[in-house]
Amino acid sequence: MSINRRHFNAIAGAGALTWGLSANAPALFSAGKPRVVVIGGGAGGATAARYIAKDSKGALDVVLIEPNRKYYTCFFSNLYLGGFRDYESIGHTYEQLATAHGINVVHDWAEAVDRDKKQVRLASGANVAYDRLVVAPGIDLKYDSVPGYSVAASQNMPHAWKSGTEVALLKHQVENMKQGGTFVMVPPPNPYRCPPGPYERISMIAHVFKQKNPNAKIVVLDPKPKFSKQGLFQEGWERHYGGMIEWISPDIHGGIKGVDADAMTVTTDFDTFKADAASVIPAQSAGAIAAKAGLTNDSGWCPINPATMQSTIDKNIHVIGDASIASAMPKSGFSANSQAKSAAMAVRAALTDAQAFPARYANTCWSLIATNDGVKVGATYKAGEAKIEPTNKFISKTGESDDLRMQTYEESVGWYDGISKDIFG
Amino acid sequence: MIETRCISLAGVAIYLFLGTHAWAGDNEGDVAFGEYLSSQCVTCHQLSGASNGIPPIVGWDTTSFYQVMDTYRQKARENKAMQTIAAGLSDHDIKSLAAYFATIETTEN
Ligand SMILES: Cc1cc2nc3c(=O)[nH]c(=O)nc-3n(C[C@H](O)[C@H](O)[C@H](O)COP(=O)(O)OP(=O)(O)OC[C@H]3O[C@@H](n4cnc5c(N)ncnc54)[C@H](O)[C@@H]3O)c2cc1C
Ligand code: HEC
Repeated sequence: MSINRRHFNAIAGAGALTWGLSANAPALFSAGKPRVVVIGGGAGGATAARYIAKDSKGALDVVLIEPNRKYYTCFFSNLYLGGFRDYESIGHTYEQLATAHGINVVHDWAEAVDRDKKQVRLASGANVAYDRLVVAPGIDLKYDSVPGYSVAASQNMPHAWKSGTEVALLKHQVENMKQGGTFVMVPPPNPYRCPPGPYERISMIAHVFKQKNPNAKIVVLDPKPKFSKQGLFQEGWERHYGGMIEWISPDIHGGIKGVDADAMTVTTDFDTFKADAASVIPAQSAGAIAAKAGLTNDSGWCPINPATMQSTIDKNIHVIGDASIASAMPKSGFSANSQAKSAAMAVRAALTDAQAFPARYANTCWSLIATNDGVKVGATYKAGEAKIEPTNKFISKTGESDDLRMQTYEESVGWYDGISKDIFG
Repeated sequence: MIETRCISLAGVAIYLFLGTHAWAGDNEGDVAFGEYLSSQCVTCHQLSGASNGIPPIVGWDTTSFYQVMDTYRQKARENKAMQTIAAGLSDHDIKSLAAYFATIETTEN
């Protein structure tokens, strides 16, 4: 088997080729094992690949397609922004997936999915045949949801809402903003990746300003009238950064009309705000490959079967993580990891004689408001008839003791270590 | 082992003593089912037994494991995340988890 695998890699690099089973050329190089292909090596996809490979103990070939050689987590990128982590501490490689679990990690883009032939075409031109496909491409940004915003505009007004270096650019701009200047933040409309994320980001920027730029102001022009953990954040902002952060609801500003990244302005129905630094996070949809593969509905996200995370459009495909419509489950790394395990079990049960147990899902999202002031929200879920439904939930309370808040923060540090190992081995 | 656990978890020690009567033994848990359920736990608790803000839960004896989980389920021990997770677990679930985690040896020292 390993000889075949190496053989594939060697030739695939050289040009277009269909690996293994395809509609009319049976098992040319394949050892005859069913093959699972996973698109996207983020929180969802890497977990799915790892669990499928680990638990099938060699009975399935697992190919993971991910363009990046290193994955920088969005989770804890806010802590990097605030100076609580260094950049390398949020980067993870795929080495363990290959060495410990025999996963073939192919660093390429999936460009198209031929659902009839059951194969994925890569940007390099090669095709990879699958028996089951897991699609986990995360999100793409709808730049034009904010008039005037674009990839070019994101240079001056970074969204930093996808894995990668953009958060380092944002950090640089925050740290070098002129003394006493104004930072303007435009959070995204629902539904979006990481509901408390924009507000944790605001907290971390305030934390930096408090030390380096104490007369700075932060103006938040929200398209939403309310947001995740609102009471907890607003209490914390008052307590730690009294007066620095002004959150403005659409009831007051009347709606975001557009941005001008050269003039550094954000215009609302009511007023134009001049920024010295800014972050604009536009509306989102499932990662582009999901729509290209025909797996999205009108909402731009992928409908799934709540028991197995199978696409309701194609039963040979499972969609997990941010790209999926997981109803009550927020789009988080924790959720993606949890959904991946349910999909992995369903895939193994379909392709091997593994037993499938009823799916269970969970999520917890921690947020850091200031040094040692952590809060959390979480829930457990089950597969209902048509949707994933919550079973039990919790949220931190306002007015909690400093000890409890510190413990909550420490928990989040433990979680980051735990989930990183659970995703990448 | 149980004694150490009692000291470290003084608040729940009483359950350990009652527990020997309330729950007969180790043989009711299903290890394979426990392994499946454990995938929900290892997002936070590391299988290696490493602890960094979240305590290790591998290699426990099954009785104390059951009792501790039950204290969360009864909300007799604080921690909202653990209480919420435990609330969704049946006796059989917990015993299966206990049976599975008991088979894992820590690789941390
Ligand atoms: C600032 C911020 C803070 C956050 N904090 C938290 C937190 O504290 N806790 C938490 O649980 N979540 C948090 N999140 C959310 C979390 O990052 C996402 O929900 C999670 O990454 C979703 O996982 P995923 O697998 O769906 O997508 P991703 O992790 O984005 O992975 C998708 C992968 O697919 C790859 N890909 C895309 N298209 C293709 C293609 N065509 N071919 C091949 N590969 C492709 C991408 O390169 C990427 O690596 C945060 C997010 C942000 C932005
Ligand atoms: C969201 C993160 C998270 C998840 C998921 C989680 N735990 Fe926990 N667990 C914790 C934290 C935090 C503590 C410490 C709580 C405290 O201080 O009482 C804990 C404590 C425990 C303890 C007591 C440890 C001790 O030393 O007393 C046990 C046992 C336990 N968990 C078992 C489990 C099991 C079994 C699961 C899966 C069904 C699970 N946990 C899932 C976070 C988690």
